[in-house]
Amino acid sequence: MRILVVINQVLDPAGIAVSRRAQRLFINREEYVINPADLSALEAALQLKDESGAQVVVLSAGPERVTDAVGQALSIGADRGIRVDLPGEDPAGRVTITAAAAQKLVPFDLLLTGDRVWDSDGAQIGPRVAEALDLPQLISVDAVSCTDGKVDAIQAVRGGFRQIEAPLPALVTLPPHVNRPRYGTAARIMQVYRDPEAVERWTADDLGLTAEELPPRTAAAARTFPEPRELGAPMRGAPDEMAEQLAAVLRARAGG
Amino acid sequence: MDLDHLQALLGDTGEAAPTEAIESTRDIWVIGEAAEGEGGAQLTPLTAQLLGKARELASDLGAYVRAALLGHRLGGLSDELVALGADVTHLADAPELKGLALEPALHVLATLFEEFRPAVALFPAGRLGDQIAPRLAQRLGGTLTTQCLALQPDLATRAITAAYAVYDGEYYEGRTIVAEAEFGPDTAIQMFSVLPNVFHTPDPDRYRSGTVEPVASDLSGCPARVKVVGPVEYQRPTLPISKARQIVALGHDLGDENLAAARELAARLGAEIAGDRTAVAAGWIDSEQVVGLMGYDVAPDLYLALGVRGSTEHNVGLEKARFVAAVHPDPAAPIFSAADLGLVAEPGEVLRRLKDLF
Repeated sequence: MRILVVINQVLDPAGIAVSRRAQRLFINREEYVINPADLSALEAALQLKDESGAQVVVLSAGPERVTDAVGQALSIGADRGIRVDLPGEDPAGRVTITAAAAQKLVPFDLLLTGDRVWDSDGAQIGPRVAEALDLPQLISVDAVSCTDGKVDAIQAVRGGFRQIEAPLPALVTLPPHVNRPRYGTAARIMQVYRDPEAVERWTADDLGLTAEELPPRTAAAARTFPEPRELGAPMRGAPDEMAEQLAAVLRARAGG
Repeated sequence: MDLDHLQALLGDTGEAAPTEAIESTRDIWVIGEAAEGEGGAQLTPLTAQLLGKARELASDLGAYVRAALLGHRLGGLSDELVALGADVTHLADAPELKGLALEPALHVLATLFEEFRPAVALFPAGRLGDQIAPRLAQRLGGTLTTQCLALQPDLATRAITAAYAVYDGEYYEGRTIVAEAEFGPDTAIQMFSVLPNVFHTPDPDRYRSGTVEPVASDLSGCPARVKVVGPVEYQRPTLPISKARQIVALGHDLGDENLAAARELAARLGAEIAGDRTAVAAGWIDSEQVVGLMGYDVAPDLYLALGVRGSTEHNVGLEKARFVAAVHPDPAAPIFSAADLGLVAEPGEVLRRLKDLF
């Protein structure tokens, strides 16, 4: 069994400060981390590996710095890591490259990735790749398991969970923070760090793609910032009425 | 409205007809969603908001609004779509489309979009906008921006800039379609998935008239590949509180007798339990769950503090929380200086009432 995990790298928000008053972003420390949702997907893949001995291949499209993210995935327990050079930051280009790379890794049973990218509108990457490869999709699931030719997943729905299944190969996406991603062992981290060939590097040429097939379709425009937060004065009154106000807030904020 | 009459009035001799013909085939589309309500299927408020926005875009860009609705037993909803702003409605009503299974829904929409080539298509965020729209964009070579909070058209290029939140709303980023040299029949379809309550809900106008076009499609060739087995019991692993999206925080002034009610509320909200150091002393939580300088920083969407007095040491841990609600009987409690919504009340009384409301 082979599992592909597609990961993205995002700027660590711990290193940035958003000033609502100054309406700008201060980057104090430019450090990149694996997108949290993709980390959930990687953990799910490694759990399947523990159970059934699957081969886990990590795939990431991006600039040179993405090598670190793939290396981190290797030190956590992935068997093979590939970085594909990605010109530009357009979602469509990322999908074309990722789909072409996945095509080169056929046969695989599962394509796992996060259901969103933290620093962009990247909820579309998984389903777009699935469309390019004509795979069924299980979106935003909490847990995944594989038995004789099909994938089972547990998906949160209003008021509980449900079980869904699809034939293999399939795309499965996971939200952030649904499992506890593991850490790499020190020995494994050093092994990956010392091996300059640990992360394979593919280019668009290797995948038979030309620049014309990867035109920028969209471009980032300006940033805006929320208004500075204004705190409310505490309310007094009948507990019943105030509870109703609170219930309205809870419904809006917790989606209940 | 008689368009010829209007054009004559404006002195339009009809010379611009060829470009008009191209543009009129490229409309603004809204993909509606219906939810089961009392007395059958009803349009969701988000669908109405999308239709309102589509009307604005249509008058800015000079186009018609077409609405598509997929599902089963949708009788009467096309009148509703027209009243809210659609000029033409396309209703795809089939048992296979119940629950919007991916393959049949994608087939219907792809067939419609290939025929009509929308200039712009607005999807409700959720199943349609975030699961089906990306596949449609990929299949038809369109562009898509998901989870949009604002849409701004450029009248010269007809490209729309969309804004979406990054880092869970830390700030917003715009994304614009790279304008192709000239807007024409082959320009890529611009798709957007839009979040609820960012556009206002239009008032329905029962006197508007529109055309209804039923969608005839053969869905036998595209069976749903994903099967819903049924409901299942599942317990999410407990997350460290620094990662929790919702937190119910307990403090000494909650009172032992209200502990059970507070825990029950947290379960209903899907929230993690946390608290201040007084809650550790009371034996309600352990030290892994303490918020503040002596514990952990949290950044949830919702932080509900029940009976937490809120020392400076505690409040520091809440700085990244998106919304803080606090219930405490003392109006001078420092927690109120960190709260977006503060209620001066006994937590027990509020909890009792919340039990019925939430």
